[in-house]
Amino acid sequence: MNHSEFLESLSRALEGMREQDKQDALSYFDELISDKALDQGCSEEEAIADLGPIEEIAASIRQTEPASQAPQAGKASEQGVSRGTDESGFGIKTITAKAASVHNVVIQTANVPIELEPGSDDEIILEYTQDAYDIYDFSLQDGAMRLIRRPNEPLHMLGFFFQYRRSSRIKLMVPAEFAASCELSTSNSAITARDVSFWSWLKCKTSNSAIRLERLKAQGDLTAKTSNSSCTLENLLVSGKLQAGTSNSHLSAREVQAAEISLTTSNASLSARHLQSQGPITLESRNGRLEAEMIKTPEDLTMHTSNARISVQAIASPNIQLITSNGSVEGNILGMASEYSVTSHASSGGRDNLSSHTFHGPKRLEVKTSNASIQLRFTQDSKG
Amino acid sequence: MDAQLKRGVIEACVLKLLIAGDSYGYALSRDAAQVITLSESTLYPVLKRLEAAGQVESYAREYGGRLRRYYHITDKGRLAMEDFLLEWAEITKVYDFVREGSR
Repeated sequence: MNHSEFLESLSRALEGMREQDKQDALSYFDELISDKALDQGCSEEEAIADLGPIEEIAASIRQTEPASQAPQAGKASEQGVSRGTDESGFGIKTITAKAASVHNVVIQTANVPIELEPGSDDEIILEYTQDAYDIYDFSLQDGAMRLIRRPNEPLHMLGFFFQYRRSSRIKLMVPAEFAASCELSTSNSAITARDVSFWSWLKCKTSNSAIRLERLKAQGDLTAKTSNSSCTLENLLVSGKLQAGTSNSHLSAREVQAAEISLTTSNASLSARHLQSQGPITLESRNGRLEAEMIKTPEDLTMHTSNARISVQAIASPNIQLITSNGSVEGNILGMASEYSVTSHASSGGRDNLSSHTFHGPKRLEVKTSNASIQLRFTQDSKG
Repeated sequence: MDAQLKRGVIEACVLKLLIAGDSYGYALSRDAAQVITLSESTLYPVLKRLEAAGQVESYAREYGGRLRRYYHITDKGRLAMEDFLLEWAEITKVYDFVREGSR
């Protein structure tokens, strides 16, 4: 990506921000790229590649949006917002808003779990706890509902020691059919979402804690990201792309359909059952086992890991790649052996039952491992 | 590192760097990266917040035919850094206590 392309994409990612804040951010990154390329003697493209994903940059810029003022009384009633408690005080807060007036919900907190579930058909109900460590700014403007935790002043830094003492949470109840997009972000705490159909995208982000998404539909993309903790996806129907990732912990996906699927973890196993996609499916780990059962796509199916086994059951794709090291690759592939052209390699003396494959079918199967064997069969082939 | 804690620590780093003299976005992120792991995009919200809190001020200067925004520490910023050091003494105490207990 070149300099102006980067700024254009960033500008798009910042859509909805106050124009001045957006311009400030754009000129900061504009400058940063020139200065970095100059200092490191590299090209601007390289300097940009180094910056990381645009979404992450945009997210960190959005943290700076000014603590939005509560909507004025007149406006609030117009939009049907009511508050359960006095806004200034500490305690459990409840905010209710007409769902029809909201097309985007953003919740940003830290060290507090977020739960999303279906509630009333025409209202959004948001419950949260405000105390000395978590002070929130709530706003509802132009259809965008935001609950943003104010950053801690350095003075409050000791607050993080007490995170385990508290049992607060944020609960968001929305209509089961919800005509809005939703972005949930926290840290060190779990995110759970269930039984809602979003007419747009859904993003969930936390760290060091689990994500569990069950029985959800999304007409846009669905992203789920955590670390050092499990990620569980069950019964998801996504019209856009599904991207989910964790690290150092198990990722499991069952009954999932999406236009594209990409699941990633590391140092832990990944299991996928009943996945379907019209686009490519990627299952990736490092140092962790990969298990796939009933995976179907008319495009590429890529499974990569290392130092661990790959096992497959009834997978189907015109271009299958199964690559690991120090672990066996075993199981079966839907279809006949004659449909596939095979490239396989089990180095360092591993047995490879595909080495005798002589067909040159239109579908491609590439299998690689080391110090372990390859044992794959085709289900519709009686000879095995 | 805990995100809140890290943000506080990065703020202190930036203030400390600015005490040595006015500087600009890229140079600050490069210099701060010497002491703490951070990406270049992390620094932007930090600078914005320091500016909003009146702890730094910024101004644009021409450099090589373009504008570059420089940051300058205010008296309020210097005070904030002193607060940080005091606060840190307390955290160190807690740290020592926690470490002792977990041996």
